[in-house]
Amino acid sequence: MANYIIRRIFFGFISMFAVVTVVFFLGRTGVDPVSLFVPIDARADDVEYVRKRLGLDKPVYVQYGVYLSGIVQGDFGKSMRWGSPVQEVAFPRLLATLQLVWLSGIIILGVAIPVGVYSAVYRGKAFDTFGKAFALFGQSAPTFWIGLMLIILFAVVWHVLPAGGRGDFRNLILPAFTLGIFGMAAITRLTRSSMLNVLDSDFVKMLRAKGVPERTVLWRHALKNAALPVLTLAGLQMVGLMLGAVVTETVFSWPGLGRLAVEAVFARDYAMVQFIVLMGSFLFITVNLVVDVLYAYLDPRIRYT
Amino acid sequence: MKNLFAGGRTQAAVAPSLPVARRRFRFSSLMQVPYIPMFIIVVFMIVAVFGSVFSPYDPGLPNLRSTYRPPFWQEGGSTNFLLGTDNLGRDMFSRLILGARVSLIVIAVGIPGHIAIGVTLGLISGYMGRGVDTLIQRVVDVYLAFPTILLALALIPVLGPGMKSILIIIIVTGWAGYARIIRAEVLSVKSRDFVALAKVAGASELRIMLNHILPQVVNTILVISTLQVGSVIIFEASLSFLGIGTQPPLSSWGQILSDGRQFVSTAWWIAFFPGICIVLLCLSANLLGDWVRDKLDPRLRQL
Repeated sequence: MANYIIRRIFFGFISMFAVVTVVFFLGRTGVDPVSLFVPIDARADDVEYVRKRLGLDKPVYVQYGVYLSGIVQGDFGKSMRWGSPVQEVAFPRLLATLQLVWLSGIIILGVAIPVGVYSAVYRGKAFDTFGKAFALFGQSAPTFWIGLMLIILFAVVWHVLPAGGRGDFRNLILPAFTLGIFGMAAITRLTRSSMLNVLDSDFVKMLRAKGVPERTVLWRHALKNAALPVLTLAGLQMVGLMLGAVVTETVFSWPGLGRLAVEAVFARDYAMVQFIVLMGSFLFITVNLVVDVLYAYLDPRIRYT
Repeated sequence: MKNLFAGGRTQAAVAPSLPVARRRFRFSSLMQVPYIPMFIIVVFMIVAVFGSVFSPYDPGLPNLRSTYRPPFWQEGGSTNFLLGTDNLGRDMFSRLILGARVSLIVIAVGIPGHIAIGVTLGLISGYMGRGVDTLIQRVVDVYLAFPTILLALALIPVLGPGMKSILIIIIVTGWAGYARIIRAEVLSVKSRDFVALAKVAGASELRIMLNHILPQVVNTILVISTLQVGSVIIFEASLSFLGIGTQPPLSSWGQILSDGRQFVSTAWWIAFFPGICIVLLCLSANLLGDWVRDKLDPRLRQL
């Protein structure tokens, strides 16, 4: 087990290194790198000044070395648009995104697990069909469109919730729900199929034969055994949420990391884009690792070599 | 009473609330051939290809005398503009038709692009094995682990926004799934006798891969690509919605939606209709994909 964890962490580092390298060289191929950092209509001597200041006049391998050693020391570069180190701009935005993702995760699990469980119990009945239709819709409708439709309904027609921006709890409801729809669909489907497997097993029949109340059978015994694959997917979905946040935050003008990424692309602030991509990859790799290890821990039948 | 018989065999005695096999069967038989999704996709393709014939107006032509016209059934709307007009007075119906064309181009370039890269690498990886296999699969690992929208964000500043960049981004982000699944298929196919016979007969590696193994995995390719259509469309729409996709005067559905975002309180139809188009097309593609999968390759159920 310890070996497995160490190996996974090692591979995590390799992947991270690969991401850093790819992102760095992406910004150095094909185009003049300075053009990624300055406005299109910048004057020639300004361009040269920026080139000097960013060290872009040096050979690529020197730049790469400087960049790597900067990252190791926690220096990710300076944002051209915001004028301060990228992480100082990004962290408050990350908190705003986390706020959204956190609530969204609760909504997803709160809806998807009961719906999935009852879809399995009432397989083929109206409830299941409805759940299936909902899941199919959730996976076929673009997040931003659902968000806009929710704005039209709740903010424009009924005036019950704000259309966007950051404020009190009411501002969170629509974006968190919108963000959750895709994950909800996926987790409902998985909970359903996983529960179907478990409900069919001998120990559930045994419990029922023993006269254990149906509710206890479902929620205490069956769900516990069906939870493993759901847990894995939920872990991955949490990161998926952070990425869905890019679109959702744009719809609701939520000042999060995703919005920042889009703003940075428009402002031609490559240092910022680079940092956000690195941070996203880091989160993704870390969550993957934690989920895998947790999985092995929860299910002793899984043996890693 | 057929249902009593079917449901009562084993489970009803244990727990009456348990699902009954007959029901599920009836539901799936209802869905056997997805005529409606097929119809929608055919209509979509016809409209996308011959769009300019149906299109009542030039989709890019502003007409400032008729801005914000609602769809015809609403008060103030007229049958001149079936689905209303946008903030510049452009006919929504004509713009949506142009959007269909953009979506079709994205599918027609993106999916074959995925197949070209993914299947080639999958074939090589599965057939060659050893070091080549490990190398390719590690790259696939990184690709599958790397969130596509991040890659898109990293690529956009380099490529610049526009249709060409969108196509490139879609191709480079989507092939890894094919490589993974095709490799697994090839592994099982290559141990079969006919491959060994081909080898004995002196066929070259390339010939074995292309003439003997590739035909065996065509079904799988077909299944994955139909299931991918929906996600490709949504991906393009998302990028265009963020403003880093197609640029005017081209109008993709995501872009029209993004335009309509500013007018949700006054002109809901601008954002509503492109979304409906996306939902209908993706839903149809997904239903069709499910059906193709069940017909051709039920083992891919978990996709």
